[in-house]
Amino acid sequence: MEKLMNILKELRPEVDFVNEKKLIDGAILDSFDLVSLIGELNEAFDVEISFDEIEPENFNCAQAMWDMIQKLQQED
Amino acid sequence: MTVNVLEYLETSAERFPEKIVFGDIYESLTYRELLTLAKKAGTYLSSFHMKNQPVAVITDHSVGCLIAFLGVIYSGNFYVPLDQKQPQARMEAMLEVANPSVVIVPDKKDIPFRLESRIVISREELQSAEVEEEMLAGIRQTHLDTDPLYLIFTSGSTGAPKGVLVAHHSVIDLAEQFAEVFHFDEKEIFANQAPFDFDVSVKDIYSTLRNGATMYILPQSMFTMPKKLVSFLSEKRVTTCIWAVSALSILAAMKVWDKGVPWQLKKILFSGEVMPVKVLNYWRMHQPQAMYVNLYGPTEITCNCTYYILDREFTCSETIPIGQAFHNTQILLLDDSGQEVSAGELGEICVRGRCLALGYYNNRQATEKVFCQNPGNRMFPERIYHTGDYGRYNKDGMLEFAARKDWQIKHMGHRIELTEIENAGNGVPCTDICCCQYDESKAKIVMIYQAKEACDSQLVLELQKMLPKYMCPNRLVWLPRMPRNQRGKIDRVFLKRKYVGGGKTQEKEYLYREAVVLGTGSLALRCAEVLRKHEIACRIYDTGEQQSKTLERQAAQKEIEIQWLSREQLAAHLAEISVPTLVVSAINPWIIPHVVLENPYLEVINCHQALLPKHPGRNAEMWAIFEGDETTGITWHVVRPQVDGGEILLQKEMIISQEVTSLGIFRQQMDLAYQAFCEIMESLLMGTAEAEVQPGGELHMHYSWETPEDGRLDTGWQFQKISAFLRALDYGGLDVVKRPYLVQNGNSIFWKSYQIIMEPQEKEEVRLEGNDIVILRKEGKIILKHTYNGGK
Repeated sequence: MEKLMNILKELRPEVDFVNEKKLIDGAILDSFDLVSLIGELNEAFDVEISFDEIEPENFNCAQAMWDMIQKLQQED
Repeated sequence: MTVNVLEYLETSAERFPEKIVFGDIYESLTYRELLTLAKKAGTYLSSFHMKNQPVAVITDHSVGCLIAFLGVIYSGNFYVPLDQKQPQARMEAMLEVANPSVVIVPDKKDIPFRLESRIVISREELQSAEVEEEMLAGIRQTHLDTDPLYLIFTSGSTGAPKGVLVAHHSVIDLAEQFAEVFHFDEKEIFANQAPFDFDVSVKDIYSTLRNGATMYILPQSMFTMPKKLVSFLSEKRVTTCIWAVSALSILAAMKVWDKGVPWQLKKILFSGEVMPVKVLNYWRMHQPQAMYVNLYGPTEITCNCTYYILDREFTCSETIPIGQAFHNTQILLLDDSGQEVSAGELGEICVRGRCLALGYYNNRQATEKVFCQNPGNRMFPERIYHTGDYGRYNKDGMLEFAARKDWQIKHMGHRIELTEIENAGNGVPCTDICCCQYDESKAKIVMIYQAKEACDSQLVLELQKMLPKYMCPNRLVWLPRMPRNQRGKIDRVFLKRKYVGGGKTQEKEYLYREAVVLGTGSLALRCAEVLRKHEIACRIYDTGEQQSKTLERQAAQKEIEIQWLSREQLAAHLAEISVPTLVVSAINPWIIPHVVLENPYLEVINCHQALLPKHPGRNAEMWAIFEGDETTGITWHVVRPQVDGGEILLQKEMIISQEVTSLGIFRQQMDLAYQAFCEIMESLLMGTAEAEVQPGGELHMHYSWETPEDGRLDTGWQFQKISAFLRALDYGGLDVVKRPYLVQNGNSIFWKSYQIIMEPQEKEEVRLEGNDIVILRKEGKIILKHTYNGGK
């Protein structure tokens, strides 16, 4: 989780990723952010985030991203 | 002959009155409805009795905006689209340049910027007038195709945005050429991606109106919810996408077509930046039926001046040509003296034709710089536009884009002047000075800033107030001191090489060609030796309290330069180095001061004798044994002001056996450290070494004066502890830490050497055997030899 928070922090230092729950629905992250984020998550956690996972509910908050990563890691 | 873009609307409204012309996620309009609404808006605006004046339209991504644009045209004026989401400072800078007396807003309630004395009209108010056909016809009577149609802003080098003023004839020329070359007709259904303050959208709007086609507006949010986007494209039966390269890249990165293709597109046209072949190939694999077109051109020549219809496969090492000029447009490739270059040569892309903008609004100086007399024509006035891009013709006679002339970059489809971002950064209170670099391979804007302390969050927040999102840096690098060349200018070449990388051509070329080794022992010598083998100019500084004769002799044997300076002298010397230098601290007892670490030309690394973050500080091997660790090792790390807290470059692990002493570990560690240094040296010298930030948390820092249990042995301890204690304090003959001692009958007993023997014993006791102290334990026997008495 710490690794994820570091990635997020580096992506957008000014966003409060601890408390923010509407990263996508609130248009806090835009498509450029999302694409670089997906790339970095794939690399850092050795997962493959596919088109099916790119849904607002998987990216609206840090915890949701973490759950998704863990789910993907277990599937491997 | 078409002289006003409104003729497109009127003709199509006559042909297809009930057909949908524009739609967004909330509403859609037929041609008949649009015509009426535009005329109403035009009638309302004509009450201000203006002609060829700017009317600002604060834009969102909706049908309402388009009605406002057309209303402005009906009133005989030109529209200035300004994105409502941009930072206030930028919005106000644009309003100052355009100086419109009328501003159309989506809604009067919420206006987050100053409008001063301007007349503010809501979109709703525009519809409050009844259409006055005669008056509108009167306005049309005086219209010429050279009258301005819109004013669209681009990034300006001085920090002031530049507004490009485009006439009706340029857009008519564009819409005609597009229809002809790409066979656009009334069957076209466009998916509009580009926002309306961005001239990519001009192609969608006027191609729709000219051909009696339909255009659906994609909300920006769909690009973060790609499933909705895909279903929208298929639901609306979209045929044609005229999109920014970045939008296609995003969808390729999200692998939108991996789960099947619910809808087949017919035409995909892209522009804005160089299309990565990887992205193109992804699209072609999943949408093989579509026609793909690479479009090129800056806002100043009205969207695009060249096109290339993809007619073959491309591999990732090839560049997609920007192709050939549209009909009624000519490309000249000029050298610095204004001469046309010969075939195959590189030249600046200059453009001639109806497509040329009228110039930069309210900025004659900037206009005259790039809209110039054709140097090849001395006989009559003829303007050409200098794009600042370089290109050449390939062997097939197709134009290829080569590079930008100046500091301008292309990022996410936007033309950006790095100086503008730097100016914004320099205006933020927490920074001293900023320098921006563009990392093309990663498509990231890197901002390097000098400040007293790192202030990333504050800087980002401030920049967002001044710059649109696409101009905000994607990576921030804090430096306590900006590197400056001999002339005192920011050393951009060094910053680019260090923080962005040199690109493909400079493979194997070292960023650091000089090195300094700090140390007192054999590891320093070995590191210096291997650096020299790689032809790095290298010298050792002996950092002991006093000059070591042994080290000097050994260095002399190996013909390595060595010098001893006082610590003040050494700090001053290192702080002043102004060539890129790798500083290797190899068993160096000197804590490197801030003035050295702040020198941007130095990359300082250190070898620590433990697996950081465990055992930071001094005599780490001793603490590892004493605390009963099963393993230890070495860590090469970047040196930061916090001792042993820098990012980790490489670690190597070793097992701590039950017999080993501190001296023994130390020796093994030196071999590991040397091995590890050889492994990371190449990447360090090239400036590409990867380093990982240490996990945070409070850790106990050991100081040189600390000794386990303060050196005092207690015979009541467990055998394991006594053994660990004695082995930890054993540095052979070296006076590294306190000697262990024992208190017997009120006397402190020290000894020079001791032995630990494992042999099972029944009894437990401590006794003196001659001069030796023997501690007998169940688990083993410890003999402490050569004791001598003495007070402490």
